[in-house]
Amino acid sequence: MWQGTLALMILKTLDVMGDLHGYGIARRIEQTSGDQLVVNYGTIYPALLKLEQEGSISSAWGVSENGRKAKYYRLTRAGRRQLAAATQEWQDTTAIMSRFLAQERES
Amino acid sequence: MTPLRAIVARLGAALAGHRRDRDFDGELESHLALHIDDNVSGGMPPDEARRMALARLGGVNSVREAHREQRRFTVVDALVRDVRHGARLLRRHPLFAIVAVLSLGLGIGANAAVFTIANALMLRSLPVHEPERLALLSNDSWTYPILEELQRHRALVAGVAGWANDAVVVRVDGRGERDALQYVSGGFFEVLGANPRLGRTISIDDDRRGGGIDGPVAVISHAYWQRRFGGDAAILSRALTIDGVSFAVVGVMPEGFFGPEVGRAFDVAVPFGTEPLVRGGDSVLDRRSTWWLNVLFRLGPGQSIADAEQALRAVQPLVREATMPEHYRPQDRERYLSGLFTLEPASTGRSTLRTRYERPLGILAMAGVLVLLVTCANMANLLLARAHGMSTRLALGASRSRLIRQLLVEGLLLAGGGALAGLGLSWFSSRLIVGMISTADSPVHLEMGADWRVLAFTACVATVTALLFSVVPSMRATNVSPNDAIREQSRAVAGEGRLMATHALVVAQVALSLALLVVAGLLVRTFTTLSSQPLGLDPGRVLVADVSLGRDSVEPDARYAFYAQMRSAAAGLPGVDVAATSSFAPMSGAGWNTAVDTIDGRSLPGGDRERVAWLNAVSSDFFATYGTALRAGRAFAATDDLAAPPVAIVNDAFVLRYMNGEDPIGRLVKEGGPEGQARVVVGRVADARYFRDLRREPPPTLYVPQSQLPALGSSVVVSVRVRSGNPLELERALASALENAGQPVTVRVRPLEQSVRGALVQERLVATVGGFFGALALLIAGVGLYGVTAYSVSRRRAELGIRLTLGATPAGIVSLVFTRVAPCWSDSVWWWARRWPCGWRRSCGRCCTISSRPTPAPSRAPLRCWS
Repeated sequence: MWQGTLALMILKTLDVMGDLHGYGIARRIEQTSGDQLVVNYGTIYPALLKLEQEGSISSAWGVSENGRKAKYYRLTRAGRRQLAAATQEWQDTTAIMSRFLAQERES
Repeated sequence: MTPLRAIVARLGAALAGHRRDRDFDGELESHLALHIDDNVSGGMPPDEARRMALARLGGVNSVREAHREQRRFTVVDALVRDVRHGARLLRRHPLFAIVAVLSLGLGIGANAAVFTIANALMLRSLPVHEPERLALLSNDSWTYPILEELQRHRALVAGVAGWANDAVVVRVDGRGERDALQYVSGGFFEVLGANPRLGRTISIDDDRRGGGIDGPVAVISHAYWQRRFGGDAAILSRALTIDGVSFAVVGVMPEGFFGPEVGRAFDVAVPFGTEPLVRGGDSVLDRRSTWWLNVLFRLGPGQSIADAEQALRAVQPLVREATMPEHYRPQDRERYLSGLFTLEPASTGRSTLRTRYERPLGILAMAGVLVLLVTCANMANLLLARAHGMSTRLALGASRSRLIRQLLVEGLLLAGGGALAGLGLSWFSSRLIVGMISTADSPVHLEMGADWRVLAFTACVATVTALLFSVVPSMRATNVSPNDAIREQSRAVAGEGRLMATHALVVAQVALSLALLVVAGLLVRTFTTLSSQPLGLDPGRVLVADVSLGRDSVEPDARYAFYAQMRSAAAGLPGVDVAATSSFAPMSGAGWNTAVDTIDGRSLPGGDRERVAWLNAVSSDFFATYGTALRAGRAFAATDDLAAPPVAIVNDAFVLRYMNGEDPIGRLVKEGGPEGQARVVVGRVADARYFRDLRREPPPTLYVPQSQLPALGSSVVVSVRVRSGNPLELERALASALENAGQPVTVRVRPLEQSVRGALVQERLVATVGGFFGALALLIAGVGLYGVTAYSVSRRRAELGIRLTLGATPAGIVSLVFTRVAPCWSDSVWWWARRWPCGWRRSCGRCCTISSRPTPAPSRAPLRCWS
C-alpha cells in the first residue's frame, strides 16, 4: 500500500507546487506530514521512475534557485487525471473506513 | 526458466544502457548537493551536512539498485512474467486453450489459405533474373510474322521473345502422353532470365525452319524430367518424339521454374522453327491472321516501360505494314495499322487465371474475414467471462495498464498458437482448393511455398486478431473501480456493463454468421442456377473422343473420308445410338469465329468484331448426337457433298441477331472474307452452349457440313450418344475402335459431362468453401451463445432458486431463460433483414447470377439488449 500512497503524495505535491526536483518533493512530503513521515529520501526515486514509466509525470534537467543543476518533474495530463481518480477513490475508501470504524458496539 | 530470465534481464539492462545509470547518478549527485546546501544554510558544518544528507538518502548503492530494478522490471521482466503467467493460465485451462487455438487456427487458416493462393497467383514474381525488367505486349495474342518483325528491332530493348502454348502427344520410349508443349523463340529463356539446371537452353541458332545444326531440340521442365525420365542423369543424350519428329533433349530447367505463365506449367519447350515439322501442312507459322502467341520484352537497364513503349511505337508502322494480312478490306487495314503497341509490366508473369479468379478469391477473402471476426467476438466473450480474476487483482492494487498488458500477452500467445495451426491448415487447404479448380482440360499448377509474404501476412492477421479480441474486452473488464469489483464478487447487479458487452458481442457473432450463411446460400444458389440452366445439349449420354492424326498421314482432302470411316466404326459399337464428327466439341474451350459479310447479298454494317458468328463444321447426325432440337428445316444429310450447293444451319441467336428473327430457311449467308462462299440456310436449331464459360450466352452460331469443306484439319472430334451399357467400358471400346480404324491416331475419350463439370469448377469451389465458412461461423457463434447463456444462468442461480421456492415451475424457469436469450437471435436476424436487401445484394449481384424476389422490408428497432 505504501507504494501507491507515496505515488499519490508525489502527484499531489507536484500538483500543488508545480515543477519540482526529487529532493524538493521529498522535503515537501516530509514537511506536509508534519515530520511524521520520516523515510529515506532515496525511496522516492524508484517511485518517481515508476510514475514516469506510467506516463503520469515527465522529467527534464533544469537549474535550481541556488544555481544547482537538478532534474525537474512535471505532472502530465494523464497524471492529473490519475490524481483526480486516485483522490476520489482514497476519499471514498477513508469515508467507508471511518464510518466502519465509528460503529459502536450494539448492546 | 531462471537462466533464461537472467539472460533476458541482462539484455534489457544492456539495452537500457549505461546512459540511464549515469543520468541517475547525476540526479543523485544533484540531490545530495541540494540537501547539503540546505543543511549548510541551516547552520551545519559542511562535513556534518554531507554526512546527514547521505544518511537521509538511505545508502547510495541501495537506492541505485532499487532504481535499476524498477527500470529493468518494467522493460523485460514484466514481459517475461506476463508470458509465464499467461502460459500457466492456459495450461491450467487446457480445454479453453485448445478450443481457442483451434477456432483461431480455423479463422486465421482460412485467411492464410486464400492469401497463399492470391500470393502465388498475383503477387509472386517469376523465379527469374530481374523480373522487374520484363514487359508483355498487351492485349490479344500476336502473329508469328509480327514477332519476327519485332525481333528485327531487338536493339530497341534488351531482348524480344515469344511463346505459344499447345497440348500434344509426346512419346518417350514409345509411350505416349498428352503433355503441355510450349513453342518458344530462340533465346526465349535468356530474355526471360532463366538459366538451365542441366545442359543449355534454346538458342537463336536452334530456331531455324526445320531445326538448327543440332536438328530439332527440346528443353524440358524439372518436373517433366522427374516424371517422364525418372530423373535420368544421362538425360542430355535422350530424345522425345512429337508426332513422329524426334527432338534431342538439350536442357533441363531448374526446379520451381514453371515458365512465363502463372498457373500453367510447361512440360516441353521447342523452337518455333520446328512447328512446321510437327504440324506439317497445318502450320500456322507464316499465317498473318493467326493470332496465337505472346510477345515478351526484357527492358534495358534503367529503361522504363514508357521509354520502351515509345521506341516500339516509332517502329510500329514498319512492323504493321510488313505483316499486313493479305485479305483485309481497306477499313480493316486502317484499323490494323492504327492499333497502338502497348506494354504492360510482367514481373509476375502472365496468367489467364488472374482475371478469372480475382472475384472468387475476393469473395472467399471476405468470407474468411467474417469467420475471423466471429472468432474474435467469440474469443472476446470467453475472455470477458474470465474477467472475475481481473477485478480481484484490480482491487488488490494492480494497475490497469498492467492487467491489459497481461491480457494482451495472453491473447498474443493464443493467436500465436492459432497462427501456427492456421499455417498448417492453409498448407493443406490451399492445395485442396487448387486441386478443386484444376481439371483434366485445364490443369492448374501453382507454386505455393510459404514465402515471407505469407508468413508476414499470417503474423499480421494474428496480431490484429489478438488486439481485437483482447484489448477491447480487457478495457471493459478493467474499467471498474475496486469498490465495484469487490461488490461484484458478492452479487450480480442488473444492467452491468459487462453483460451488455457480452450480449452485444453475441448479437454481433450471430449477425455475422447469418450474413455468411446468406452469402453462402446465394453462392450455392448461383451454382445450382448455373448448373441447372438449359444447355441446349444433353451432356449425360454423350462421350467425346478427341482424335489427332499423325503428321501428314492423311492428305487434307482425303481426311473427310477417313473421318466418316471412324464415325461409322463408332456408330457400330454395341450400346451406341448415333455418332457424329465435328471440328471440335461444344464447351471444350476450342472455338472458331468469323465475320458475317452479307445476308441475301446485303452487306452488314460495322467492323469485323461487330459481325462475329461462331462456327463449327459438323457431320450429319451431329444435332441428334448432342440432343440439340431442330426448330425448322432439316439437318445436314449425306447429299450435302462438294458437288451440291453449299448449305448451312443457324441457331436462334443468329436468327435474332442478323435476320431480325425472320424465317432463315432459304436465305443466303456469306462469311469469311473474299474466299468465303455464300451458303443457303437449310435449318434452324435451338441455342446450344458453345463456350466453356456458362455465364456466356450461346453466341450466334453457324454450322457448316464437314462434307462441303475442301480440306479438314488434322484433328477431329468423334462424339457418340450412348443408349445403354457401362459408359466406362464404352470409353475403352470407343478408343480402341478409333485407333483401329486404319490410320495411326491418338485418341482421348471423355464424357461431355466432364466439360460441363469443368465449366462449373469456379462456382462449385466458391459455393463449397463459402458454405463451409458459413457453417463454421455458425458453429462458433453457437458455442458462444451457449457459453453466454450458461454463464448468465450460473450467475442467476440464487435468483432462480428463490423463484423456484416461491412456486415457479421448472418449465417457467426454462421459458424465462429462453425469452432472455431469444433476443440475441431475433435482433441479429432483424438487423440483417433491414440492411440486407439494399447494399449487400447490390454488391453481390455483380458477382453472383441471382434471381430473387423483392423482400418486404421489416420495420423494428435495430438492436436491443437484455440484462
